[in-house]
Amino acid sequence: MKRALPAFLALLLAASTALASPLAAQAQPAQRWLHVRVEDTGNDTQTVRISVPLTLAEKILPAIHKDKLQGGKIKMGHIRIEGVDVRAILEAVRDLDDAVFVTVESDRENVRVAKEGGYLIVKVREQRDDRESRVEVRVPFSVVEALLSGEDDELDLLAAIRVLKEMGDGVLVTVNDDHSRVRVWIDDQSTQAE
Amino acid sequence: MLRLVRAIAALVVGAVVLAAGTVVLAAAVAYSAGTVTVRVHEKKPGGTNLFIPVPAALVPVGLKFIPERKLQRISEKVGPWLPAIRALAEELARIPDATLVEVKSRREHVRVVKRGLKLIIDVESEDESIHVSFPLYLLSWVAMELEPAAPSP
Repeated sequence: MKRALPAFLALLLAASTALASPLAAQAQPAQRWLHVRVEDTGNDTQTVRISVPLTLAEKILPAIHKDKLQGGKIKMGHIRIEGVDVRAILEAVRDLDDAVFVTVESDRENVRVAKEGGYLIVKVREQRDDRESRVEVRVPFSVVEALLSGEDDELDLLAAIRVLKEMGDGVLVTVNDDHSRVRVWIDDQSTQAE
Repeated sequence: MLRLVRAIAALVVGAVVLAAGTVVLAAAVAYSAGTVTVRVHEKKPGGTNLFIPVPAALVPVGLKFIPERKLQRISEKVGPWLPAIRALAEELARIPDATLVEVKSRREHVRVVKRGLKLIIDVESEDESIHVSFPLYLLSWVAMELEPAAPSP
């Protein structure tokens, strides 16, 4: 009986929230949606589509305190890729004009990292035997800055999502290889076009 | 004597009205709280056909029947995620209807859809069709029920 009263109150609260929600939804500004589409064109053809409103991520992330994900921030240790301090490089290029920072060209691989029109652009083309894969990442620099705005050893996901919410429509990541295609983009549509 | 009979009759009528009113109110609350629906259809000949509609209001009541120790164990496992589950339920109620997740292959089609104030999960495979739907605020209720038993972060 002691536990029944809070349950009944919760029931009433939930019912009133349910009634109020459609009205609240009408007053909301246009939602920004993060879409992910993964198409596997290998033997077992498979398509995965995920559409998440950024407000959803913004509300949920601060509520998670589990392992390395704490209140919207991921504890990473020093963010290094093959010995290169990514944070230091990004901080160094932050105030520079548009430029190409990294170019690697070989028979097997082409890599290009550049800053263009406020975007950090990474293009990787890899050739192996007859197969070719292309990765293109196009992230607004303000999002990268927001990601790195926390302590030295963490990525601030929440800050990045807040910045993304204010950005216009656009593709963030595309990956194309011989058996899969990945696309990550943002727009104000709740559905993904075929 | 007549007065006594009248008083008893009034008491009985009052009690009946009160009981009926409580039942009607409980039914109204249960109805407004929505339904949890589980439908399973096995496609093989003679396969199972299952359809279980349960008033959502009964789910928190059902949780009361779980032994305290088991509830504690469940709470310990999901405890860190409970605030996120509550936030998820609240925010899902605010967003427009949408297909949140869709996985489509030759053998299977899985969809997680937010429609109105419900979350709907449909799995369509070669062998079976599974449909589960429940009111979003059921997530909040369950989180609320489990939270007191969960260890503090």
